Amino acid sequence: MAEMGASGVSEPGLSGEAIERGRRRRKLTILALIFVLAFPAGFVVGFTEAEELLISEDRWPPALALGLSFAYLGLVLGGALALSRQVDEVERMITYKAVNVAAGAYAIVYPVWFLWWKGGFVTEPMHLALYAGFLIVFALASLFYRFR
Amino acid sequence: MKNRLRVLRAERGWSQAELGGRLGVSRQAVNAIETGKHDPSLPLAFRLARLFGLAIEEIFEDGGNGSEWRV
Repeated sequence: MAEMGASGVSEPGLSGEAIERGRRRRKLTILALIFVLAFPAGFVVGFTEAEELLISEDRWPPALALGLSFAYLGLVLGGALALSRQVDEVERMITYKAVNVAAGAYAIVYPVWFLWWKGGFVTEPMHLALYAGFLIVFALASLFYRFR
Repeated sequence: MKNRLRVLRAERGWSQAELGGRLGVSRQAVNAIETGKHDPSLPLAFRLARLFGLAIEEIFEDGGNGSEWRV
C-alpha cells in the first residue's frame, strides 16, 4: 500500500497508481477550469473589440478593461497557486527553465528591435507581439525540456 | 547521476506510476530520474531511500566524473 500522496501526506488504502491518477486528474481539472473561466473573456474580446485590438489609439470601455484585468489576475494567480500544489519538482524545474529561456529571448529581442527602430530600420516595438513571442518561446521550451 | 531506480522498482514489480504515487511525484518524474535526465532533490532522494529501505548512496552513484567543487 502507498505511503505518500502528492502532498506528502500518508494516504493509506490507496495504491501508488491510484494516487498518481488522482494527482493527474486534479491537475487536468484545474487546467480545464482555467480554460472554461478564461473562455468567456476571450469570447468577449474576440467578438467586440478584436478589430481594434492592435490600434494603440483605440480605447476600450473602462469597465471592460478593468473586468478583464481582474479576471486575468484571478485566473493567473489562482491557477498558479492551485497548480503549484499538484506539480512535482521535475515539472517545476521544467517551468523554471522554460521561463528562463523565454525571458532570455525577450531580453535579446526587445533591445535589438528598439535600437533598429531608433535607426529607422523597422517599425516601433509592439508590446503585444513581444508578449506573444514570450509565450510562444515559453511553450516551445517547455515542450523541448519535457520531451527531449 | 547514475542510479539503480529501475532495477529496484522492477524487483518490487512496481510500474513508474506506482512508484510515482508512493513518492508523491508524477510518472514522468520517475522516468526522468531513472533515465538520468533529472537529479532528485535531497528531500526526494531521502523519500526514495526510505521507501526502498536503503541508503541514498546505495541508490545513486556520483560517478566521480570531476563534478566536485573546485577552488
